[in-house]
Amino acid sequence: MTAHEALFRLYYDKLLHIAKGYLGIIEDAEGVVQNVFLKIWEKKKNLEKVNNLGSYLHTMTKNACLDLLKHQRVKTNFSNNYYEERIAIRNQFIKDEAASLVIETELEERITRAIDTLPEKCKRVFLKSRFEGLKHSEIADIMHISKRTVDNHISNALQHMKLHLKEYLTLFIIFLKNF
Amino acid sequence: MEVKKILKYINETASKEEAREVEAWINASQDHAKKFNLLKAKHIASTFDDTINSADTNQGLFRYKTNIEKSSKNKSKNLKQSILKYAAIFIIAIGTSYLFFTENKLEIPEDTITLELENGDIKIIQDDGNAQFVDSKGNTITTQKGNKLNYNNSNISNEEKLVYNTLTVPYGKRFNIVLSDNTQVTLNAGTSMKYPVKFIKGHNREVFINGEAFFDVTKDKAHPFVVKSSDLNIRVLGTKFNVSSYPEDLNTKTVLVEGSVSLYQEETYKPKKATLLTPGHLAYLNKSNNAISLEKVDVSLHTSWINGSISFKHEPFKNILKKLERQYNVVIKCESKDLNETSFTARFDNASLEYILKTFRNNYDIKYTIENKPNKTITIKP
Repeated sequence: MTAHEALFRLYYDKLLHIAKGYLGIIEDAEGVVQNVFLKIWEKKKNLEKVNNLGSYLHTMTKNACLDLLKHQRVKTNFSNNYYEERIAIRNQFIKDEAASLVIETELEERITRAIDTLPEKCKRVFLKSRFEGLKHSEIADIMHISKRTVDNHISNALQHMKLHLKEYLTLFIIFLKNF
Repeated sequence: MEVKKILKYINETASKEEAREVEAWINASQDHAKKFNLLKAKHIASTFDDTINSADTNQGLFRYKTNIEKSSKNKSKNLKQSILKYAAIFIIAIGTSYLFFTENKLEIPEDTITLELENGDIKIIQDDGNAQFVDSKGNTITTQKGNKLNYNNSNISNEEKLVYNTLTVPYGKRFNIVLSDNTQVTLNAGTSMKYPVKFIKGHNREVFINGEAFFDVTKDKAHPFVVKSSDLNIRVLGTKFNVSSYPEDLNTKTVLVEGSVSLYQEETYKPKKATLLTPGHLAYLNKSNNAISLEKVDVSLHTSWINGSISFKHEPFKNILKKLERQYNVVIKCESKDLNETSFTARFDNASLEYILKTFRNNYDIKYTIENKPNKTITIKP
């Protein structure tokens, strides 16, 4: 099991639920969430700047939904004012920050709970580095990256660690980047 | 509004009438919208289990892996990758606004003016010709006289549904339309406009533009006239103004000649959020940060193209070249970076391209070569 697969298993159904809430149609939501994960995979490097994975994924999902709505807006030919109005309501809902916060808080809560039930293999990948005490140079060897890169990643990660959850997820990011 | 009703709407168990009622309530004020949003957010937060229990993560993962494989395969075509990337960006940038323009296009010469009818048929408009276009029932939709299409005298009965036509003007040409409400529109080179054959009572008058056009809108307070471009909406009651919104330009420019117009970027018009433009002013929408800035301008600079003039005031050379390319349907390459950023002020009234190039050569020491095949290409050398 790779880190990407673990990430997918951890977040897929939750993001799917949120996207379905935004779009109203499960098939649309599935497409959107697939695109979000594909983007994550294609742009691993962008993850370096991320310190809250849940919030990052939620934002990506929101943006993907907004894009889709924009597309639908063009497609409807504007011939149907009523339909356009519905899209506008969905649109402003996605952009509402108070609403976003409610959803994101619940998402984080769910992730915390889900981590405890993560598949064993996936847990091991993570624990190996953090809790089995592998040295940075050893991680570097295993992952085929320079020791300095590992140093940087770890120190960046440590800066953002405040909660157990964040610690877990930040390290997750390190795996993803080097996958 | 009762919470119960709103929840029914959120659950999608409301009837059509009930849904409309809730939507009207949401749109009535920002407070209502906020209330609705919070309620909906809480509903989403409390129903995670519904989706989680029914979601097929394994199937999702399978799709994800297939997607990754496809994506990697594309990446391995390293050679063309960067080019493809740009091609894709280009297609998307144009694609979003051209979606309704380009479907069903046949093999039609690039340099002809075309009219796309509601059913997707594409008619070629001959320059300075006279023609009549009829719908399937034999009703006249529009008549062409010279360089003008007139929708004001069609004998289509007042239908409930809006029926659209799209006029596309290639580089090197201009064309005029008289809409059913007698609004006069002049389309500049390289511009498409989609508009209803007949406006309907009780609906906003809406048209969709991609490129540059001058509007002289007939006053009708009950039916606001809205020009929609890919990133800006312009709402007017009756007025004269110019809009320039070419997909390849960094700015969308609106210049007001008389009357007043409101600019907004949201889907629906909200007076408080809109920017009001007064005569003699230009509104720039910077597409990269969506900021609108206003500036006092000489209006004629922005409207002289209607009569075939080209004018620019302190305009970078590269922008001037783009204008010339559109106006004369040529390709112009400039090999000097410095020159591209140098600004010029000039005005040419119905001049030939050769005359304009000569003027630059004589006054600014610019060298150029002209190739006529396969397409007319001008290369400017430092």
